[in-house]
Amino acid sequence: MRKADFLGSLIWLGFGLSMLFSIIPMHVESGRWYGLSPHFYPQLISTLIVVFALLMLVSCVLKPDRYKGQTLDLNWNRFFQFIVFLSTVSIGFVLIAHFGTLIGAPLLIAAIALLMGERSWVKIVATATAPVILAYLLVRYVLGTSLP
Amino acid sequence: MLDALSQAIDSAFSWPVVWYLIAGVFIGYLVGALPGMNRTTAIALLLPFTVELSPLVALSFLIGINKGGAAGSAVSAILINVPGEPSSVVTTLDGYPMTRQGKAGKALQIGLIASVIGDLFATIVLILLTAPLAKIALGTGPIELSALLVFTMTFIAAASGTSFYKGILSGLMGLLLATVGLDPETGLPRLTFGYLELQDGIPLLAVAIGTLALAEIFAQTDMGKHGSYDRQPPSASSKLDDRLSWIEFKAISPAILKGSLVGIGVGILPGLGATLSSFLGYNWVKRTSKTPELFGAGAPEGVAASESADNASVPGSLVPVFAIGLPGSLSTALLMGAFMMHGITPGPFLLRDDSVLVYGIFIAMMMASLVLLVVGYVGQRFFSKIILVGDRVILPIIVFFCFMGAYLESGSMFSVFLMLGFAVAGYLMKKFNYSFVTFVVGYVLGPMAELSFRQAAILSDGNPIALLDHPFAILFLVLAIFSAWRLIKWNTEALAQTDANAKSRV
Repeated sequence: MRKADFLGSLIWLGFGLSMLFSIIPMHVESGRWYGLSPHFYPQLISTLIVVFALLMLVSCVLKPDRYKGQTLDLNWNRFFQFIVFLSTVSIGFVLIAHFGTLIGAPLLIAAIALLMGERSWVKIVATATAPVILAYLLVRYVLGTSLP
Repeated sequence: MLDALSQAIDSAFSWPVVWYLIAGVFIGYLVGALPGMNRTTAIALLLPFTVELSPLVALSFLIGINKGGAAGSAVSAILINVPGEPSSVVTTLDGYPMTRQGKAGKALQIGLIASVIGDLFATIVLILLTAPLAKIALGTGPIELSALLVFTMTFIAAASGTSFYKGILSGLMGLLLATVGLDPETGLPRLTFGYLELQDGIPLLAVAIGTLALAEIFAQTDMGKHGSYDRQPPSASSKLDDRLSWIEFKAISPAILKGSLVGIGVGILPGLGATLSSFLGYNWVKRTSKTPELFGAGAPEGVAASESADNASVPGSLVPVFAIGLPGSLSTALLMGAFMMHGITPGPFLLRDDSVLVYGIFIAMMMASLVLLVVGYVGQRFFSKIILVGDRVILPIIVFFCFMGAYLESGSMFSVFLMLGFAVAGYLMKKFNYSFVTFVVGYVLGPMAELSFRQAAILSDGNPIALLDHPFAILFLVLAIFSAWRLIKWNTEALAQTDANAKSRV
């Protein structure tokens, strides 16, 4: 956990500095205004991010005892599972965007159920179709709006 | 006032409010009972469905979910030793042993009654406290409000996890994200990166559903294959042992009262949460019990204390929302977001300007307590069965609901992919122990914080010496430093204790 926090504080520091010296100057209008410039508040927060990231970095180096008993709830195997799951969900959303909810959503639900270890086709088909049809009808006829 | 009250009674007892309240409590109870799901996820997912409703109906529905979720989480804790929510971990200590002794029905009844009484008691306290606190809050200016915001964020960051720095950095990230969109003073775009969709700011639902619902599912699924819960709840050994008698109710009443008091107190303070309130309530009742040795082996008082504290913290956490306009927990931050989606700013002005709505919500909250009793009692058998449905069926459906929620707010896939991005961020935050509470509270409070900081900077002409004319602001800043110091010390001691316990077990 200490290594993760050390790395985390460096990332925060980098983020805060890039906000201050690159992103805010490029993506927020500058100039003098009657009150406070649009830069004022994002810069204030970014400065605070830099300050607290530095403090966290110092704390990681100077107080290693603080990390006793803390373990990281992540390993490469779990991270791989997460990437697989994330890819499945992303592809599912793209399918919904291209082919519509009635085709994309059942495929998404079935893929996730399969990925999680469900092997009963009856359950997969029921899980993938019934909620989608119900939700589609609810959105269309009760809420009066539409899904892709 | 009487006129407003009579109008509020009329609107609160209208059919849409009553139906949505019942639906909210039922959904909340169901979600609370299902292990792995929680009320915050449910509120985030169902928030988009409330956009078209009137503010009173929408808020009654969401508050119903919040209350139902707090009570429903006891079901799986008692029957299968798997807490529906973290706040019900304490309920497993005595609830599950009662089930193993053949007293499952009795434990469920104790949990339900303690939840209802705790909830009702806290709702009454909320109603009594809101008006006087709002009156005080009305007298505060932007400098005091800025100092109060600093205190709230610091307190939540210090209380919310193992690292103060991580808590405060999450909160700052929330505040920074809230700056995306048009500058409030000049109307010029800020940090929109040329996307027109971001000119109104980052949509609340993309943030809430991504970090709270989809990220939670990612965290649950990274262990690979899942299954259903194998353990069947044992049935009661005899009819006599399955029901709560009047004598037993009288015996657990002090535990319910103590739990409720703890729940209200902890609920009002920002960032402490329902889990801590149930732990503190349980510990207080155990410490003052004549038979502390029975706790952990099926003591009914244990179930009563933890459940009443858990439920009392729900209305308790709404006190600062109604009185000052500051949320202190994830669910209240989402409720505040719901207010804002309807163009309403919660806080002292709301009570002055729209007292009919506030009284209507209070009446709906009282009704929700009674609905909770009926739903919990009538649906006991149903909820006992539904918790055995596996997450392989539930989680894929929730992913689809996440998509729907994000899409419905803006009607574009941009929000959906934004939500996916926040889900990845939320997953990493969860894994690396960054606080969700400070992040979401920071995001929801962002616009208000910016406004008050800007006003304070203009009023004081950027000179910190001007603070000397504002003793309340100084008080809040001193409190922020003191509470952060105390809570960090407390967290460090708790960690050292956990480490020592782990070593002694080895």
